[in-house]
Amino acid sequence: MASKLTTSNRAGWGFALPGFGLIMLFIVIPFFFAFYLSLTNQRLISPNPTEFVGLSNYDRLLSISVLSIEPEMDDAGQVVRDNTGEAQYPRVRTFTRNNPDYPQYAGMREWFRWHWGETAKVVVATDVVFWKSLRNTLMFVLVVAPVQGGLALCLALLINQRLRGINFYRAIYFMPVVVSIVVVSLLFRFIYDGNDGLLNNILGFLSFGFFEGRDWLGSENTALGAIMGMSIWQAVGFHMVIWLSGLQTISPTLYEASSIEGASKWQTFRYVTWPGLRNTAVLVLIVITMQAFALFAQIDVMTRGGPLDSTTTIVFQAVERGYGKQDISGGSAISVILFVLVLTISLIQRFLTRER
Amino acid sequence: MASINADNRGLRLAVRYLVLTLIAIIFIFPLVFMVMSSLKPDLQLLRDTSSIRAFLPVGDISFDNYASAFDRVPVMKFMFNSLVVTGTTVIMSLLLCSLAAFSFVFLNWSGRNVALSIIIATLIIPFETIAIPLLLFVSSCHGSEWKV
Repeated sequence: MASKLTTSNRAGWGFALPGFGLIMLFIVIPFFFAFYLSLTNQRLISPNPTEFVGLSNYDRLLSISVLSIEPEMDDAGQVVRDNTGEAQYPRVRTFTRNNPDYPQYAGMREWFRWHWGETAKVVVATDVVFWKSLRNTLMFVLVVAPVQGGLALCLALLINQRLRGINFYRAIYFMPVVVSIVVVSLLFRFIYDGNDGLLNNILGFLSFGFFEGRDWLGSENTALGAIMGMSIWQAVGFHMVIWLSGLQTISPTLYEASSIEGASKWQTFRYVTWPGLRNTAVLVLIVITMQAFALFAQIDVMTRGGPLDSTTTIVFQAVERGYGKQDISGGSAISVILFVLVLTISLIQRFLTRER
Repeated sequence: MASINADNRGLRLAVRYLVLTLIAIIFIFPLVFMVMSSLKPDLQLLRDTSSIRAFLPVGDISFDNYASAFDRVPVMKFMFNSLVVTGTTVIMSLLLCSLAAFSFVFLNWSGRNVALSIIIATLIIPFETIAIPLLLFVSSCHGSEWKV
């Protein structure tokens, strides 16, 4: 029954080529170009010709090591202590600046330190801001992916009930998704504001004045959490709809059977609903993870990476360097690192959720 | 489950609606605040955040903010731009994707599986990875002066 059309190579390519060609032109080729750029010293505007520099961009971004610093000793061999009894340590910069004994630490800065007995272990990196962006992004993914996925499932179960007016609630829960994330970020800058912010006033009211207002975006401890909360609030409705579509593919006969068997609510969820949602769960998890890794707009609008780099993210750094500092090659290197990270995590997720 | 009588069923229903409504408030209150604030002058907006007035259309209500937005920037032009981008994207996606999908599903041609694999693989590329090369590519395109 093979007609001429269905077996002709020309027809097949002809139909696929417009779409396939655009994908090649705007995704595949730029991707390889990004990889190439990351191996050069290309800048947006530069009087010097572009040179191939190998992996030095990656080397600069990723080099990190741990420096063990012994406390300072006085002539009698006793540890020098200050008034409060804390041991005194030599400054990190004596190791990282112009010290021929430690060429491997040259140009590095302190990221953080911890104490192992009297020895201070100092983590030093050439590009501390990049490492902070890596840490912030991973924290964001680790919190947002499970919380948003879980909340979305709870909401989906809630609005999957047969109740009068349930469509009204569905629409309201979905509403923040329709609002652009940039608009939401601007709005939440007012809500999180330190003086007279809406959130401070509401929390103060609910706690009968016990809650003391704080500047949510202005403090290192709360800024990333505040952005996580807002991001979940904005996007949870979308994943709720995906879960809901998964819920509605589960055959009602299975629920009938389980109720005849006398299954409890939890048993019904555990042995009927959850197995039926398997593919949906994989989809939701991977989509949220990829979106969370790409965190950018919220940061750009709300904090621009501050305070003290506590909210800077991988994509924000890539954009900041690529466009802001016109360091195209450095920005491309960060982008490629992001790609490798997303690819790795996706492969791990595929492996963990594979059909057994 | 014979213990359920009419009263207790009504109570359960009320609890369900209560939960649904409380959650709805969490989702709606920032948006109500946004809409109401857009109707108020700056000073009153800041004053109102300390009370329930933040969510109510009270005080000096007007559409002045909208009027001044239209005065200050070409809002109509922005909307038109968004419309052009959205319209082109939707129409071209429908056209090109359905063409390609038809070809992948119903036609037999050599290279079909390779092409499909490449398309699936691109899903994993974050847009941010290719943003910088695209910027260089577009800025090197002569004719970027072309306007609607």
